[in-house]
Amino acid sequence: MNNSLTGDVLIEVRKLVKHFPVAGGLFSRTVDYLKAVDEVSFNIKKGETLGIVGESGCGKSTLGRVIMRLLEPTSGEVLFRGQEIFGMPCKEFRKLRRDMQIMFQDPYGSLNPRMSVGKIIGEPLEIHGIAKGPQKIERVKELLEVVGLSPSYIHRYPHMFSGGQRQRIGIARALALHPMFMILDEPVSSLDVSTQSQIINLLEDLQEKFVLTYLFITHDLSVVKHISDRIGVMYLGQIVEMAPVSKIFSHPSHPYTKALLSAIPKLEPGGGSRKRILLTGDLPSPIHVTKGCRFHTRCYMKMDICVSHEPTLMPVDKEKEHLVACHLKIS
Amino acid sequence: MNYNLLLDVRNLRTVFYTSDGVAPAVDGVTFSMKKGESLGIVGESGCGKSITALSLMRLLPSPSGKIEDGQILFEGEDILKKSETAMRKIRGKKISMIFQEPMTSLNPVLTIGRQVSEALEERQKLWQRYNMGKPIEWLKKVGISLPERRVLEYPHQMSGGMRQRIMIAMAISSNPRLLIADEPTTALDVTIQAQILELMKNLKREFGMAILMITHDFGVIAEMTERVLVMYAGKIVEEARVEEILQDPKHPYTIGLLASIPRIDEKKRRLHVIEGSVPNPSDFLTGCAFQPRCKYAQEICLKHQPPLRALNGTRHLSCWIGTSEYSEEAQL
Repeated sequence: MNNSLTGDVLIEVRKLVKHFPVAGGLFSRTVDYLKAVDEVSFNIKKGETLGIVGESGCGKSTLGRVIMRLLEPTSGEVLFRGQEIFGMPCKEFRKLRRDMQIMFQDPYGSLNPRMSVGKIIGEPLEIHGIAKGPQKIERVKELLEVVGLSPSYIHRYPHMFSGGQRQRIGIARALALHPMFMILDEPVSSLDVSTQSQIINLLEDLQEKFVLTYLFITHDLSVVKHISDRIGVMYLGQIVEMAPVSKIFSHPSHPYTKALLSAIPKLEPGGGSRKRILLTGDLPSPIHVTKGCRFHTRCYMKMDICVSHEPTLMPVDKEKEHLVACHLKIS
Repeated sequence: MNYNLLLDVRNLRTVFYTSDGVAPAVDGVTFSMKKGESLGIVGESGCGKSITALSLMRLLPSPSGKIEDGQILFEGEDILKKSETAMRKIRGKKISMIFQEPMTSLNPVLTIGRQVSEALEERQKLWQRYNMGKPIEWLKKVGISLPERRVLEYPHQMSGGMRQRIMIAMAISSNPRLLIADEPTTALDVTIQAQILELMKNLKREFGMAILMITHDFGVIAEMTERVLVMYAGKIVEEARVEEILQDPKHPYTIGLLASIPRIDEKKRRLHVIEGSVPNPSDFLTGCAFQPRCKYAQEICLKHQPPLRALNGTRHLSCWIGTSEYSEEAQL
């Protein structure tokens, strides 16, 4: 897991933009755009886990979907093993999709209730022409065992399983094609703590076993700290801070990151001794994005420049690993 | 009678009649609360914590849910013996409740001002409905900006955090003695959660009501409460002051639960796992309900349900470990 520094880049995201049109007025004309993802760039090395953390509506799930090409981007590029994926013809891209898988948050909505577990996990094998008939069944049983379920469950249906077991089925389905890269979109958010720890441990074991690269999307800072090598903090469609885990938690630099970290209730009576930074107000609408820094409406360290000029993501340390988009750090 | 006692729940048993048979969702729960105290109930989904809260308010879905046994003494009077009319005088007046879903707990077709004023006065005269003075005052108290404008708006125009503030305003406007908060911040983002918890703490200080906080999040418990009940499969397995539970949990379930939480303030380690999952309330188990998942289980745990015994003045534990029936050597 910690070979991230020596490994090569598996996926590169360059200035990715996704705007959704907002309809309104007479004849539902497009009157505006919701800027869900706005010029996001990063790369992930082989075997690394990049955590993307942010509050609801910050665009983190859209980011995952655009990288998987489940949504077409407005502009920007994603390079998977050096190949640009958005310009690729569908036929070719389908081959590539074997290597990229996504897993969703809702274990109840993401499995077809009319399909048996065997069919759910076996479907990708058939579609990609990897295995059929008894061979397929063998492989499905093998996969069930890998994710810690009994192979005898193969004929059961999703409603017979608990939330944690369903997430395991989702993982087995994603693993069926031996992917290299997995996007995990809030995989443990709907689970109870005792089940959550089972799934987190399973994901870590699988990463080691199959040398997987993860993009882990979540709103839960403690989970993201536990599983990631690097973390990107998103706010209103942009990454405002990105750094290796240890740096982000020991030296959070963006005022938003600081507030986010201080907001987590600590497991100490009375919430511990630390001082809490309370942000005022809610996340502003991503439709009418204000000029200047996106965080300035809630920022407790606002300067004049923040209202007029948008800060760019710049390194603040010698190794150039710790990137922050804030005027405080640059000037 | 102890005049400091606000709520005394004795041997509460709430069952649900389902197609699979009778499921005891709350099974012999006993606890009490002092005036102005903040008590937390923590547990995983299906452990009966929300049903305990609904039983206190007598808001169980009818006819499937029923309180079969027990007493709920609120200010010395048994709530379970009261008529529905008498209950209406308690509900929302002396005991208020806020729910997890701020999206669905407000009426989408009435303005915020109308809903808050409804909470203020049960039977309203027509002219009172249009007097927004008091609702504005309450919205100001819970920190809503521009309350003069907000009273004329509808719930869909508000964010989740604002709706929860409005729910809180409605719940405390009658100056209740007890506020039951059922997962009040679970649906909210962390920065908004921090705002709401801060608000609840301030209001508690100002109004001096007791708070019963129901949550699955030990972080919220640590921040908000003085005393904790840990529930598992409809029963209280451990009761202690919050610092005792966090520093020295005794029940194997509590120990496992705390160890399986990824901590922000700790170095990375492998997460502890409690094997298996929570039993269904309709599965009848003899003995301790946690025994199938417990690594310390013995003969006695399989056969007999451990009683909730007192360890000291504030601590109670329902586990055979440490009793004379449990032998240190003989493990299964």
